[in-house]
Amino acid sequence: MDFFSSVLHGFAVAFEWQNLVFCFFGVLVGTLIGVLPGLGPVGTMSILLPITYGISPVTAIIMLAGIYYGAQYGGSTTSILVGVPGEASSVVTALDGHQMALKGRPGPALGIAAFGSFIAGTLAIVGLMALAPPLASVALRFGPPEYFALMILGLVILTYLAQRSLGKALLMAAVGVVLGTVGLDNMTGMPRFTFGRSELLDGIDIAPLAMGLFGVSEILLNVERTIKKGVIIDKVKNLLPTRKDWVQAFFPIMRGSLSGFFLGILPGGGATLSTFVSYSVEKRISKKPEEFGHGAIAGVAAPESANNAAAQSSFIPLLTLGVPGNSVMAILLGALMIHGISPGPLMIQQHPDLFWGVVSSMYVGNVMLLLLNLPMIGIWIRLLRVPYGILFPLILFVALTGAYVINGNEMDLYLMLGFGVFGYLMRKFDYEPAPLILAFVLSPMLENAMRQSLVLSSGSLGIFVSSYISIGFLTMAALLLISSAMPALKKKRETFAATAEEEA
Amino acid sequence: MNAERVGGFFWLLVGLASISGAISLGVGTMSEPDSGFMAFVAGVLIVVLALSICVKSYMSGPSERTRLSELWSGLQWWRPIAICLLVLAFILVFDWLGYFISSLLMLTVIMRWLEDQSWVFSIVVPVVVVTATWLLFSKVLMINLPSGIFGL
Repeated sequence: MDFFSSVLHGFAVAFEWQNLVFCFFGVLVGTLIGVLPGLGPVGTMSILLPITYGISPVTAIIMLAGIYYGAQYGGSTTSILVGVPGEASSVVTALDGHQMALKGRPGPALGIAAFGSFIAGTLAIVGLMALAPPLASVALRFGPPEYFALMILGLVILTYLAQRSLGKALLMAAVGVVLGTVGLDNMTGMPRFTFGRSELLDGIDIAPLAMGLFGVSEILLNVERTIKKGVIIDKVKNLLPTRKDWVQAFFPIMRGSLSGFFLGILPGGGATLSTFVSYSVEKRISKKPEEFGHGAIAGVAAPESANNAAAQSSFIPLLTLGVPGNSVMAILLGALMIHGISPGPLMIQQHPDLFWGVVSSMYVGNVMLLLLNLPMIGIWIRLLRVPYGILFPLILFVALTGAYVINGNEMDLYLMLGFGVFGYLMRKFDYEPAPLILAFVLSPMLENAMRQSLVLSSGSLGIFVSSYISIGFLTMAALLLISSAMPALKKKRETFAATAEEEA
Repeated sequence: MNAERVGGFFWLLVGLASISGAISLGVGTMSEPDSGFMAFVAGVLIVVLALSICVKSYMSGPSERTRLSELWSGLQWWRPIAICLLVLAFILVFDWLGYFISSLLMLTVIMRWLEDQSWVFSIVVPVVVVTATWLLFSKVLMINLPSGIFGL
């Protein structure tokens, strides 16, 4: 199939009624959890994972993807109207968006966030369609050493960018690798770390692990403090930005889309990082940098465009290489594997319905989101008033139900509670769960690639530097680790992460 | 007690446990890595990183140190404990009372006693939500949920 017939085929799949329904459900839930602080896309996707068991893989991924990019839209609403980010990737939007709202312009702030997100999402999908197939053909040349090197790079980038303490992040990744080895060794059939429990022979299921680490631990952290709510701006008029707003926001949207797209592709990068980068770029090149932080529309347009573009482009490493770049993609990989699909370079050829259908559905989803977020803004504002005390018991109940129905055994409930407590304590002690979940999902692939490479080379580590591709990946990983030890760069990285944390 | 040090020693134990488990599984050789190889490599990494955290905790100045109790100071620390105990109780009675009754009880207890909602609210919301979920999974998706002694 050529490019255009593939795209047309994708739209035909996306417009099948069940895909439209689940796409709408996904973006609706995404917007909902984006608006409500306290439950992120990773937690929600893992809670809803069991629902996907009974539907086709294409429909399942369309719904889960919708939750992810829908959350980027919803997060901006809370950031602008309340000043408290609904999502980590909306932290930057709160800086200028809430100021605009306080100055009586919440409508244009919401409007430009939604239009910017729509434009960026659309551009990123075009980029994704154009870039993924050639990248997949390059990836066909990857053997076990190249895959091993790429996965190491992904883990290093994630730990480098997202954390205040690199050591703790690496430690979390190592713990994730150990957890990923639980169950039968797929090379020898030997049971590992199962403690005689037959329920653990297939390994730890990703759903109770992710629900515990992200969903339950978030609830436990939230209930011990009163969630601060700022002034909720509830009178929103004139959502359409003025001509002047468009003039000021056009180039920031374009630049935000571009930087978001490329940062999203990086394994370990993603939506949150792209918002910080695009905001700093706009502030630096602006003729009036003093307006930033006081209601500059470019300060809303650029990061909102960037986080949407990044949300779409972060699918590239997963769909072309089979390597999830962040924890959201790790959950998606888990969902694909449940359906017996291993994403990788051959996926576009073997499952064209899945690739082109999911990518085209993102376009459909973006249109749905625009309609959901602008005309229906009043509903979301009302939702912001629902107290957390009512929401969290319901979230907890849905999570418990979800954990049980996957395999129908109580062990998953204990695992979810256990990982919830573990995740809560980890966050208390300043350890982030994202590297753990990514390493957990990558662990079987990492182990296979490592063991196959060593068997092929009769134990020589030289095989990992035997091709330019793996040398390139490992050099980049090494440079990142070395640079993090340099005092000047280390300080810069820590300041960046600390700012993100304070603002969150 | 220094929080970083406590964390460091905890991970040290986890790393050592991983190494010991890996050795009993069989680490193999470089040319023929066995089932415990990966867990061994990861365990060694955990031990090295945990040791570095412990060492750092001894070398850091008093201003950089966080005491264990400070992690919970000014917070309602008993609320997460109460929720965990309630969820544990839910799991323990899950088979005996069945999905419907145990879910209803858990939600009502959290909403009434932990969140101080009115009796009416704490009963009506759980009944509606649990019934809807039960119908969805049990009747629509035909998933077996424990019915317990009441057969619900």
